[in-house]
Amino acid sequence: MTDRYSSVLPFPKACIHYLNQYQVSIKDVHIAGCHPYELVRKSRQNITTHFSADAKSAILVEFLKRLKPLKSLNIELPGGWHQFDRHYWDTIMDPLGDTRVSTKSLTLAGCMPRSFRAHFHKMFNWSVLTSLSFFDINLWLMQDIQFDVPDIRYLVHFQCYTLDSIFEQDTVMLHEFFRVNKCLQRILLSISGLARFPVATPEQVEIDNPTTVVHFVL
Amino acid sequence: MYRGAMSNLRFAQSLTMYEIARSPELSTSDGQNTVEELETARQEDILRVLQLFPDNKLCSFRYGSPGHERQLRRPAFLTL
Repeated sequence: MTDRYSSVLPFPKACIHYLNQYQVSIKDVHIAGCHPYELVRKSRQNITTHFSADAKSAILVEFLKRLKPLKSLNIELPGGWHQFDRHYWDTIMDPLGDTRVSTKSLTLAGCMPRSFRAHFHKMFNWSVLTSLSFFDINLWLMQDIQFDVPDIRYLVHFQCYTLDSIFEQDTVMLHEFFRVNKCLQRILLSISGLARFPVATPEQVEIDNPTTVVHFVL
Repeated sequence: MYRGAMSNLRFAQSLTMYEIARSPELSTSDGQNTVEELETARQEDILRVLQLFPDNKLCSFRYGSPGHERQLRRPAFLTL
């Protein structure tokens, strides 16, 4: 299960500066409530950060540009998105250029405007990804990954919690997604309407090594 | 007892701090402190905890409430 951290009060700037100065060996840093840039250091292998500003998209892109290869990255986008975010994703051409973030595990929690979908799949080096978790996303993000990211082939863990309702065409998409990820061992789903439109599990599509398959049905 | 517990911090490699809040009624005698003063006091509380650890020993640091919890906890609560 992927850990998530939330915070009402910010982590003070002086405190993260203290850590960056006197605890330079920190590999795993999970802080809700400080500026994401402050968490990027050479030693980091696992990062959890929140993007809680009103206009969070430009900060997210700049943060991703600064990252070295990671073991895990947990991006929390609390509070929804702002009109500035929609304008950003509507107008930006190629936010990361040739840069692709490399991480073995990616968690994305929170929504972005629909124009985000055209950029999301270009942000990561999907061929190294083995664990993918979504919380509170819109289901259309999954559709784009399925059709636009042929490199997602090596997932062992997949998790998707969304309030969006599933429709028949979504089950086809997920079925195909499970089929191509032949290493999947653990699937956690929480999607509205899953009881009406059950998704074919890896066993049904004869994936080689399914061990644990868990469906949470809302 | 307290000194013994603190001396063990030199072995700690992982620190989790749940959110630290300072409520006005607990932190002031007259209830007149400004938000800035309360925030400064909270920052000093956190720094005091961080300064208990030897330099460059921590490998892992977490701050925040786990899961979907959004309740504030006080005082500082550490798990090592």
